[in-house]
Amino acid sequence: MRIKTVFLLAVMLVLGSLLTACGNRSLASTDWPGLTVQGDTAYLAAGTYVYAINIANGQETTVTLADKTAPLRFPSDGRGGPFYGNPAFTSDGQMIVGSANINDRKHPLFSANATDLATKWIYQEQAKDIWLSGALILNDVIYAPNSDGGLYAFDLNGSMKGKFVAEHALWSSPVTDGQNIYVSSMDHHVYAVNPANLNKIWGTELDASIIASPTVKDGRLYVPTIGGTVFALNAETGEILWQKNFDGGITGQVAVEGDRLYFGSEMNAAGKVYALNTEDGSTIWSFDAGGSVTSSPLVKDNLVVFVTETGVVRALDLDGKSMWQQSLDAKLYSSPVSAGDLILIAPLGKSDLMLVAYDNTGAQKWVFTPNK
Amino acid sequence: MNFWDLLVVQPMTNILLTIFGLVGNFGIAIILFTILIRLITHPLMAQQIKSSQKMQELNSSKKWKDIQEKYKGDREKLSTEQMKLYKEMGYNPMSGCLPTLIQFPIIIGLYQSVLRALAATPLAMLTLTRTIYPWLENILPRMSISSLIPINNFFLGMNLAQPEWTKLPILAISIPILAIIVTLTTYVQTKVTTPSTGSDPQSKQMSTMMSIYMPLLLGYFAINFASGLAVYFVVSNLFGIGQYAMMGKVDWSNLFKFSSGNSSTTSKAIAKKNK
Repeated sequence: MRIKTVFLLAVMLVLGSLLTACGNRSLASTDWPGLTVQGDTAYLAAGTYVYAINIANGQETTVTLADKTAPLRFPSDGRGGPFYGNPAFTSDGQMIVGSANINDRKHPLFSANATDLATKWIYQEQAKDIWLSGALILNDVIYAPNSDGGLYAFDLNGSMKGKFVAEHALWSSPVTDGQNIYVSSMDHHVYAVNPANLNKIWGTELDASIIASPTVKDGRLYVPTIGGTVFALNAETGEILWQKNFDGGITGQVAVEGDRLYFGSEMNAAGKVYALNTEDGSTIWSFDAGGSVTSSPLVKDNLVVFVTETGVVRALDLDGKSMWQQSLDAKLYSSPVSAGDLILIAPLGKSDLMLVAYDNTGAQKWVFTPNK
Repeated sequence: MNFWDLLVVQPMTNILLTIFGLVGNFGIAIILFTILIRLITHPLMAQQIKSSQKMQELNSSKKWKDIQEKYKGDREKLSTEQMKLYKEMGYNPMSGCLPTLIQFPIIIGLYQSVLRALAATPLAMLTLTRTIYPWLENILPRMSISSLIPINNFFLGMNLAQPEWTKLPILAISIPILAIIVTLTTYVQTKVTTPSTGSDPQSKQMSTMMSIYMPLLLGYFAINFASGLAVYFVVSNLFGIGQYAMMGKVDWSNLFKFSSGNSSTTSKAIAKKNK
């Protein structure tokens, strides 16, 4: 009889595993890694931990406690995550990062000392959903977007100062022009918010949900939607100045350099990278990327560097001519990030390939693999 | 997209989203979708019920008991004689398994499509947008990505993408009401729809264990995973009980029988009939 009991339990476990594992991408929230460079360290939020990586050599920062050297990670016990938002840093040396654990009843936003990654404070009182994107720090106030639609403001001690609430999730980081805060929402709106009192200044409805942060420059906001439209808005009034529609959705932030804006489209093999004129949205050039471009291109040293979902890292010159390309055996969804002379790429879900550094000629400088 | 996604999850997700596009409420869409799938698989389930009924009758027959007694020391001979009896009675042992095997991927697909539609991160949203058939919006304008997304996950005050915990104002604590309902309905369904297993004590014990472990397992899922799944479990359980009831196969007397040694009224009736 004992064998039968064990058999029955095994069948149930297999059934449970099938049910959960087959749908695991949704059960345990999974998203692309967040990456922020602060000084000579790259902070990589990639699931269970936020890793601190030395930009010079790609080695994980270590800490020595009681004659034992261990990698410096947040959280040290591996509990509280996963983490996917770009870590944000305050002027007094705090790292702010939120948990994306959808199966937990609490949704903590963490503050840790950037130097030793020890937890300083935790906020979880009002947040009803997960924290997926990085916070904005403006005048020593932390503005953290939550999937419950709330943009929460905290002082440096973690006391909540106020909240702006959109109708649906905030999946992108807010941006600022130094005066107002701009945040895009899944509710099809982009909002301008007063940083002092979190009151809405204006809200403009666009054609579809927005996953990417807006880009603010010279009094204009550039906002892409998953409906495949790029909008230019007057940052002061929210008035739409122009809009252009493209094939496929746009999920990465628009990069603006000079009088051009650059972005990629998400459309499997037909994904493209575009350069538009900021003035009227006219297309200057487009480049067949050969795969979906879900993140923002990086404009650096007269190069437009982008990644495709299929694992290609490619650099174009400012006229759309291919300069170099590299391939990684991984899916790439996170935006390339500049770190001094290097370009950092954070692949998704590869434990032996968590961060790769290239120089501006496309030569690979190092690969980060976490210590066991 | 792999074959499983292409053949099972994608069509089912599109059906679910079409229902959502028509009714405008994701909770109701899950309920209607679950009922629809249960109706489609009803013939399979009916065949399974008939088969288990036949098996039950067979197990209670005098011939079966005689064979058990006669060859209890010789497993090989017992097995041969059992197969002979199956043939004689026109019973195919596979006829009970096959409908279950066919239903299983459908149930997994249904479950996965609910999860996929509840996309809770940009990456999951990307997968969802690729799952929606582009041609659907030509037939139903509400099926465009712009119109469908974001999906309002709230139903009866619950966020269907998160586990449900309801705060009780009197006690100032939170309890997982939906998970409790899932556990109870699974228990009831398992008890009242599991056919009585005649005189075989091992089968009885298996049934008893099933009626304990299955509700606990699904209750555990309901506590820890998206409440949209819990809604699916509850509707599926209630509809399953309804299906059995319509076919006259619900045995409410089993509900409060906890000992594996008790035989059900149905088995008694069958035994009486066979005498």
